[in-house]
Amino acid sequence: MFGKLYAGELKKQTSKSAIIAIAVIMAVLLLLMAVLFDSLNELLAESVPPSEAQSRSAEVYTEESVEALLEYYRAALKDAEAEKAEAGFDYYRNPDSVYMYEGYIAMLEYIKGNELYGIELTTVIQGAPVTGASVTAESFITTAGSMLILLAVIYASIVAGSTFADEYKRGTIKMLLIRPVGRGQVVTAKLLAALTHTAAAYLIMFVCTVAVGYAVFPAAGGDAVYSFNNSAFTVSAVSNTLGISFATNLIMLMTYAVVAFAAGILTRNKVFGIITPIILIEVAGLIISMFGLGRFFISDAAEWSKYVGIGNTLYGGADFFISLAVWIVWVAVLTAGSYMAVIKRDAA
Amino acid sequence: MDAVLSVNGLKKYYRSKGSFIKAVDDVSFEVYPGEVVGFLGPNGAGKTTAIKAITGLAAYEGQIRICGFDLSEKHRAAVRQLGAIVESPDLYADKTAKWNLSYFASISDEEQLRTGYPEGAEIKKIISDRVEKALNTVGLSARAGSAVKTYSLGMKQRLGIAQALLAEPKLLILDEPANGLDPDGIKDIRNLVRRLASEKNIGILVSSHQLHEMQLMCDRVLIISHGRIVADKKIDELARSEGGRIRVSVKTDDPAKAARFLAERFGVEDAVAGENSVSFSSDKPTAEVTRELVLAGFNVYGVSEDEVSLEEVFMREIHSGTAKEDGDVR
Repeated sequence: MFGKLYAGELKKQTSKSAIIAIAVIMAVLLLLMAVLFDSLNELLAESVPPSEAQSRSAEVYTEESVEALLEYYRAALKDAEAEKAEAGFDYYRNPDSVYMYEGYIAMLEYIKGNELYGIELTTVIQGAPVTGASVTAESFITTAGSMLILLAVIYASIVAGSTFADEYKRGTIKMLLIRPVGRGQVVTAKLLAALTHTAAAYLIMFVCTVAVGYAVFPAAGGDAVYSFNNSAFTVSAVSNTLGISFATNLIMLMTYAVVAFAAGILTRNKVFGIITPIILIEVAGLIISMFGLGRFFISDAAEWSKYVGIGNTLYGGADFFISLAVWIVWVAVLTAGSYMAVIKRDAA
Repeated sequence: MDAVLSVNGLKKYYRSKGSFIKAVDDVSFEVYPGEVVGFLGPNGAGKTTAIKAITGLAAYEGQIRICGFDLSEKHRAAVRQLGAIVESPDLYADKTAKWNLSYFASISDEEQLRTGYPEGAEIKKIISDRVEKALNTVGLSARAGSAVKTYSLGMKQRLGIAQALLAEPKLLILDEPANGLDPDGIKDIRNLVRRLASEKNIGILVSSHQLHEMQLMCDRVLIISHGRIVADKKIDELARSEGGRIRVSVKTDDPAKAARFLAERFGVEDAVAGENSVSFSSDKPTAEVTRELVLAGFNVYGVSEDEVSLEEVFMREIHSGTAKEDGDVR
C-alpha cells in the first residue's frame, strides 16, 4: 500500500513543463558560468601575485614555509582574539576570523605533524579549491554547484511546497483521505517522494555540472588536505571535494524541501509553500544574523559546507555540533508539525 | 437488515468570527442497503459538514458506524466500505481518467478489490478490470484516455461516481451530484443512482438542494435545517400534507352541494366550491371519496390529486423545525 502511495505521489509531483523549464535554465546558467570562468582563467594567467587570499592554493610546503605560515597565522589569531574580546556581542554578527585562523593553524600543524612536505597539496578550508592561478574543473564545479543549488532549491520548494497545497486547492485531498490509508502514511509518502524526487533532480544537475567542468577546465589533480570543523584533518584526492560539495548541498536542499513541505501544509497555500524557503535564505537568515542569532536559525544550521571548508561565511560562535543540534531540532519540529497538521486538522 | 450507515448524535460545532456555530447539531439517522436516502436542505444547512464527518474527513462528536464499524475507532475497516464524492468530483485534472481511477484503486483496500475475483488473481489485472468496469458503468470508456481537464462537468460527476465505485462499496455518499448539470446529465445520474441501489444493493446517501430531483431519485428524504434533521420521511409520506391529508379536486355538476355532502359524510372542513369543481383536503383514500360521491348521485367528470411539491413540504418542515428550535430556546 505504501509503495502505491509513494509511486502515485512521484507521478503527481512530476510535471513535464517544470522539468523542461529547469533543464533550460540549468543549461543557460552552466553555459554562462563556463564562459565567465574561462575568461577569469585568462585574467588569472596574465597576472595575480600570490596573496593571503590564495593561501588555499595548491602549494608545495616545506618545513620552513609551514613554520613561517604558522607564525603568521598565530599572530593573526592573536589579533582576531583581541578583536573578539573587544567586539562583545558584535562577534556573533560578523564572520568568525578566530574560527578561520584556528582552522589554518590546525591544518598547518596537521601538515607539520604528518610531514607532508615536498608534494603539491591543495588546502580546503574556506572557499573552493583553486590550484595555482587557474580555474580547475573542481573549482568550477564547486562554484557553479553552489549557484545551481539555488535553482535546485527553487525546484525543491515548488515540488515540496505544492504537494499538499495543490491537493487542498484542487480538493483532491478529499478523494485521497476517504481511502483506507492512514493520514500519516500519506504525509510520509508525499515527503519521501518530494525528497527523493528533488534529490534525483539535483543529482542530474550535479552530474551535468561535473561533465561541463571536466570538459572545459583542466582537472586539478593531486591531493588536498580536508578539514572538518577545524578538528579533524585528512588527505585525499582533490576530486573528493565534489562528493563533499554534493553531500552538503544535498543536506541543504533537503532541509529547504522540508521547510517548503511544512509551509505548504500549514498554510495550505502553494505560494507560501514555495516562497517560504527562499524568504528564509534571503531575508530571515540575514536579518537574524544581524542580531547575532544566525547560528540558531535553520538556514545557517543547514549549511554544513562551511564546516568542511567549501562553504561561505561562518558567523561568530559557529560550530558544527551546534549547527547539527539546531538543524535536528528545526527539522524535527517542522516534520512533526507537518504530520500533526495533516492528522489532526479537518481535511476539508 | 443491518444499516450500512448509522449516525448517532452527530455534532460539529466551531467558532467563526467570534460566534459559535452549530453546523451539525445532534443528527441521527440510518441508511440501509439498497436504499437511496436524500439529504435535503438549503445551502448552509449543514449537509456538507455532516458528509465530511461521515466520510472521515473532519473531526466530530457523536457516533458514526459504517457497516457496523465505528469510524473513529476502526477508521480503515469503516472507510473501506465507503465510496464518496464530497463537495465536488475533484480529480487530478492533468492526468487521464484511467490514470486517476487506477491510482485511486491502487490505494484502496486490497481485500475489497478482490471481492468477486478468483483467489490468487493478479491484483494489477483486478485493478485494470475494475477500472474498465467502473468506466463502463458510468459510460466513459470511450474517453478514458483523455485528461480529466478536458471533461465537461457532467463527465466529471460521472467519473467521480466511477471513482467512488472502484472498491465495491456498500455505502455510497454523493454530495450534490446533480449540481451544475443540464437536464440530460441529471437524468443520467438519477438513473445511475437508482440502478446502483437496486442492482448492487448499495445504500446511497445523496445530498441536494434540488427538491424535484430528490423526489425522483430517493426512497426516503432527510430534511436538514440549521444543522438539525427536521424530517425523516418516505417520499410518498412526504407528498401528503400535515396530518397525512392530500388536496383533492373533483369536477362535478353541483360543486356547492358536493361540498356540503363532503362535510357531512367525511367531516371535510375546508371544501371550496368553484364554478364546476370542488376542492378539499382529505385523509381518506381518493378512490373511496370518489365512490361515495358517485353513489350519492353526483356526476363526477374528473378527479385529480393536487401534487404537493416537495418544495412546499420542505418549507413547511423547515418552518415547523425552526419553530420547534425557537421553542427550545424559550
